[in-house]
Amino acid sequence: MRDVLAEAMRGVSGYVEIRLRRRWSTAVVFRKQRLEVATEYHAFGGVARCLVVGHGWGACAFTDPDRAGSAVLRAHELSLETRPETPIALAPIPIRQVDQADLLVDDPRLISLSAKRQLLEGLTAELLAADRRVIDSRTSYGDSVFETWLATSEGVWLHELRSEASLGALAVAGEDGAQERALESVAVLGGWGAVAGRAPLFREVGERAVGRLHAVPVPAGRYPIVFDPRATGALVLQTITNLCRSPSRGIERALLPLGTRIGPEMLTVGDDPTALGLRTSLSLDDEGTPASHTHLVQNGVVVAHLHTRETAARAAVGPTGHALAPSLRSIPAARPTNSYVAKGEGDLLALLADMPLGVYVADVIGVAVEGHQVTVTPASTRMIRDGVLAESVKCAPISADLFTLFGRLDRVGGDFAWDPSAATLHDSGPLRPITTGAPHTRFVDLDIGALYA
Amino acid sequence: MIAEVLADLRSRTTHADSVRARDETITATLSGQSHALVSVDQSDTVQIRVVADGRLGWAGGDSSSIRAVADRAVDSAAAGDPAELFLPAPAALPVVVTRSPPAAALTARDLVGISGQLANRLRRLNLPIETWAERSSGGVEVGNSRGVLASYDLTVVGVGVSVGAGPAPCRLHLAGVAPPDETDLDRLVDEVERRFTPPVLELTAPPAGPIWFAPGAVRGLVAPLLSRQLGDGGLGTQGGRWTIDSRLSLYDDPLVDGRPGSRPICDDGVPTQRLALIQAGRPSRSLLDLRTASRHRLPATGHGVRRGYRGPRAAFSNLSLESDEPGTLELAAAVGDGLLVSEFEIGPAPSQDRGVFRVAVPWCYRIVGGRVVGRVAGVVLAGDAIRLLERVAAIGADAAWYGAIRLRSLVLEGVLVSLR
Repeated sequence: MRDVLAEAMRGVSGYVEIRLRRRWSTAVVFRKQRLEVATEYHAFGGVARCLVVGHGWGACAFTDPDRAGSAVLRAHELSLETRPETPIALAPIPIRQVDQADLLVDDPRLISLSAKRQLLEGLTAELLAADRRVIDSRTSYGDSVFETWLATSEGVWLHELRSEASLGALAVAGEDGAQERALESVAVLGGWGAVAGRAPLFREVGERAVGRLHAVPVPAGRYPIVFDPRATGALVLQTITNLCRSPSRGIERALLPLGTRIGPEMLTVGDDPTALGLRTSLSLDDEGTPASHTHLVQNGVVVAHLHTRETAARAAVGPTGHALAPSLRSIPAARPTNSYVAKGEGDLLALLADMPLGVYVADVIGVAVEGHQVTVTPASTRMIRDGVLAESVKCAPISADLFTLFGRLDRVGGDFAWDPSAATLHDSGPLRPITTGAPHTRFVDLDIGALYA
Repeated sequence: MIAEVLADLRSRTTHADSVRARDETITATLSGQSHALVSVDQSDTVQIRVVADGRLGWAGGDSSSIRAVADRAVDSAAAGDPAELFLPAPAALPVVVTRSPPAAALTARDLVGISGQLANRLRRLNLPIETWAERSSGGVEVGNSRGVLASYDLTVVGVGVSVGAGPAPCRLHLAGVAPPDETDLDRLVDEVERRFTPPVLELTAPPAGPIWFAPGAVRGLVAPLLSRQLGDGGLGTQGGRWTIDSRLSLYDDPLVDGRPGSRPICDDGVPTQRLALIQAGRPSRSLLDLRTASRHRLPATGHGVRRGYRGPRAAFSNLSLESDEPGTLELAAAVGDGLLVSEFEIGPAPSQDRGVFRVAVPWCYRIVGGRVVGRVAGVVLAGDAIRLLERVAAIGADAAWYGAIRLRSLVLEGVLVSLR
């Protein structure tokens, strides 16, 4: 393959990059006990990009592996079609040659589709057995093996093989006309063995949906709120990390300016693609830049952004190794990998200890950001009374201005954990998986509206 | 190509059907003066579904490996559940325009020209903008083991603009089978100007009057109606456990000429038809793909979609919100004292399916004395979309296609308005 790609780039002027990716995937889905999907699919995607000096980008994506050479020529032609007034530059990178194609263990392709179906059928039975009030469910199993080849005219070479597996569960509980839902997922690096022993997770989802049936709404008002590590990770990912992604095209989204104070001294946020053992960790990004641990917010102040080579050159800084393509044939843009909030001090009990009344948010359904307005929709909530977790409640969306929200952060716990759930980043186009990590956090005086239901 | 594979599958399966989709999409993106990208994406994918030994399975993949895809479909059936699939027989197909030769002939250079033309028209606003123009051209081939074998060509051309100023991203686009003309580009430019021209006002108290949902915002209001009329979820609602204003009807229409969702046959091999989802305010039909229809022993509606690597499912084609009254263009006057909302999405919660919402609306304008007087920030709307649509205060005469959906303005009362 290396020779094929070298040949494809030969004689073409300017910067050339070819990425080929092959994907083998399995999907099994049950709706209650009814099998919806049990299938395997294989896909191939390639994309050639060219940047001729003084011109714009040209790119050609394709699904036939034999088309790499013609795709490079087409990308070169397309590059010549535009000529931006400000020339596009690429920040220099160290040239690395990485071969990690022999590292795959626990290959899910060696397990039969029937065995995968049986696994999920058993897990679905666990969920449905949680309580008679579980009236509907949707469960899923997925695995993927990716093989990637990346070559550039500057000499970068990457050949990588990796696998990941995931499980998902949605339970719907119903009684006396009321319905409630609960969701859970796990997505991890590895194969068949990585999803073993997950029956308790499925039973808990059913129990959680039932537990919400008779929960009473939190009265509207202002409360101190403790977010669990998963909720904290999601909140920071969709707000701070997302607003620290340097936009490739200049206007895709707002960017938090460097030097902005976003929160108190205790708040440190970063993205670490080199974290060990996570499904979204990487050695080189999709442009061949070595991935690097980047602090985005240090002691409450924005100190860096995530970059591609183009955005780094525009900002006159070094690329961070976050140029990632969300699908087989798409163009890389600056995207997070393993977004985290650095740990502070104390565990959950310490955070709750001095709270006579508050709300505990475990996981979130979504975090919506419109401009700088943030709306957090909690998934599961409990009251905090006299320093301990009390009854389950239903909580309306929590809304605040971004700066007000993080300005009210008053404790960051020391119980940091990476979250194995199947998180993605809100973005236009295909979703790319993300890992988040965070400890418990506590905010004071946040507004909870009336629950409209 | 798929005819041969279906013939090969005859000895191994009871039923088989397949869809192949070829596409070449060229996109020209111009972003300010500092970034330009012209890309072409060529794909050729196939999906095959089989019933073997009474069990149903399917697989998808690249057309270049269609025989391997067929083998995986048979493997999928071996791991699948017993299921019936009532394949359609060959039938005459309706006539509908899905392709425009001028669109198919558009080159990368033409698209750079269109994108640049739009950028030039917007330059006077002195806003950071990105413009794009895109042309998709390809073909769809559908067949099954009962003898259906049909194909059609299609094109879609889209033009859009993103404006990087204001309270939230402003992304506007239009799409159709044919290339845009001057009027289309004028419409985009006018809409950008309408968004940014009014001065920004500070609201001290939420206005109590009605809300004018512009067509782009009505899209969000009808989303919960759509989820109720799709697949299993829509069965049993005919005649109505819920209703909306009796002057409104919602149709799915794959047979309207020249829209992105137009097609003579669905991916399940069923001829397409115009379908009333909501008629005179009452839920009518729901979309059924072949598998769901077979399960309930009902006729499929011709809305099966099987593209890329997603499984077979029902999906909307072109949607049209219609009214039996002509409506009015004097919507600001109908509001009197209230708000105009240009964009609105219910979002994931509290419950999109149920239509309950509490969301910020960044593109919101104050109307006083029947006139738009400025843009306002920090407005949050709450309500239940279904209940709000039960009684519409005014219906706009401004119906227009927005890609594959034709919408008109609605003025609603009873929306809860608060300020952040």
